Amino acid sequence: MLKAILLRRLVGGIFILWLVSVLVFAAIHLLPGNAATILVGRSDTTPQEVASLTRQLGLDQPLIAQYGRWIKGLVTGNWGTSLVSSLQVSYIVRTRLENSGALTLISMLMLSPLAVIIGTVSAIRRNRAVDHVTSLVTLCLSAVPAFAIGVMVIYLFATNVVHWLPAASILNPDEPVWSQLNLVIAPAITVALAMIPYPIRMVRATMIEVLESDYVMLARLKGVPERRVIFRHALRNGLGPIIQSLALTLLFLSGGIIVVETVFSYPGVGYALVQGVSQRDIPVVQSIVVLLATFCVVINLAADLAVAFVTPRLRTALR
Amino acid sequence: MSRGMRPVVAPLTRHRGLVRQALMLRRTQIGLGATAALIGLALIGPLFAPHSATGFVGAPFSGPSSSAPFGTDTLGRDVLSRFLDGGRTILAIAFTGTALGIAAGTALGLACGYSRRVVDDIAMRLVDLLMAFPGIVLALLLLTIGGTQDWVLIGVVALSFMPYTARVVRSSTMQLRDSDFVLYAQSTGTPTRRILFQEILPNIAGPLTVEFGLRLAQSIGTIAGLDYLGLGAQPPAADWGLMVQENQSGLMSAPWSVLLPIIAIAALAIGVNLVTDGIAQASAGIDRTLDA
Repeated sequence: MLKAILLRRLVGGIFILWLVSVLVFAAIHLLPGNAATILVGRSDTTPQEVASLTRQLGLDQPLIAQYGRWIKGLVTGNWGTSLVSSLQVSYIVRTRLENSGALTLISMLMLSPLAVIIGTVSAIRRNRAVDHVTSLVTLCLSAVPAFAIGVMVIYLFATNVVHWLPAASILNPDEPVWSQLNLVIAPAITVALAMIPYPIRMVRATMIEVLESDYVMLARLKGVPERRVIFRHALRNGLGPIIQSLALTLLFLSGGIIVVETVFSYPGVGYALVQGVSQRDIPVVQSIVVLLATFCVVINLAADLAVAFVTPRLRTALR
Repeated sequence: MSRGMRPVVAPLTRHRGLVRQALMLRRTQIGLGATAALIGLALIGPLFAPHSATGFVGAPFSGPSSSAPFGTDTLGRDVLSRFLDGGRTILAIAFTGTALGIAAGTALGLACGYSRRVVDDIAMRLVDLLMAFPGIVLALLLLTIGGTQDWVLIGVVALSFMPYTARVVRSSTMQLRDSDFVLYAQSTGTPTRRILFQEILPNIAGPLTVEFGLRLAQSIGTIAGLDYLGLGAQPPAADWGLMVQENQSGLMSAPWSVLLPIIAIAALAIGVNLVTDGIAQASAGIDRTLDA
């Protein structure tokens, strides 16, 4: 039963990826006129330039063949050549993927425990001062766009108030990002601040529901100490929804780092995407969009699996 | 059917009560004040600008002086004049895009929630698709194709919020689909369009208002963010998002050139969110008393 559900989710995920690939492919080829003309994008383009770019992109072949070639390339790791730097797109992405991974990991490590603690405390102290302050702060954080939070972090911690952190994260490309983590802290704080409102609200809502449930009431009636009620009974039963909300946070985060990386000139995939868009570097944009979509589909599937494993009822059904 | 026989739409009065009740909350008042102040600033501010928004008044990043009270920007233009001029486009695009997205999402949600057919299934799968990855990715893809033009930005905002509105409206519509007044309208042969827009729509005004506020605050952030990334307003336009990007390198010597637009964007987005939150709270409170 549960296996069937997970299998259906898997098929659904693959279907979504296929649709995304069609959308990304079609988007470029639905451009009015010859895509190559638009790509070159300058008025002083010679017909020869357009013709050579047309050949280079394979735009003179039938659409189905182009799509097939593109998909084959995506799967085999041949993602085409950047129109701006003439570098292999797979090379550009590979060098930046680790940087984005480090930023994502450190942000999640900062925000997950904080969100669980703050959300739980708000739930326990519901409608008291702590809860009201938390709700106001999360409301403000969720309203302010990520770039503004990033610039405020720079203002407060790097340039004007105190000088604890670097204002830009120019990584040394010859060294692994893990040896220059001091440059990751400021963008990671920004990502964590921008993304934390949603998980705090979800943890709070989950914990309120769990704390009002019959088994928590029973545990209290039996005289189980409050600390034990919260950690053993409530938190453990709320784990499923909490994991799901953190997975969704990770999904939103993949969009958030696009902006934050740009604020700090952090050499990650998101910054590459923004540069690709402003230079209309189509192969780069296509590849990174498909990559991010794949990431989101995988996260969704992994979240379903994780929830199945931590929820006792579902875990036995999986056996 | 005669007009006089139509059942009175009771929730209309409830909706009026909703606004009044929301206005009694302090956060709604503060939010409304902030929103009104910033919309006013964006609309009539340019009239009070001491200089032209694109003219040069001094050396780049010079400090406050009598002619330029907040200093100059990265090219030596007056920060105050650019600030006063920089809110209109963000507001206009965010508002138009949100209105379009809400309208499209409402139409789709009403149609899907009311019909019980395959259309509903297919449309909701497409909505799932749009919700499967972050909106900004879709926005960047569309901007690569369409270029940085106002109508593309409006479309981006509308398209990225449409699925969420469709979801909300669909589930509210499904709850009302079998209620007495809808069944009555059906049995008296009221045209479907009329049932959707005159019977069901007024009854989901509460969640729809909340949805509009949420999405408006979000789209103000989105548009300002795209402007910041250099994918929205183009130089030499004065624009809050673009100003932050242009002057970020002068944060140390001329902080006002960055802080003014950031404070404005933040206050506007927080203000709209506070009002929305107030309405949501009032609507939950009213629903509770009605249920009890």
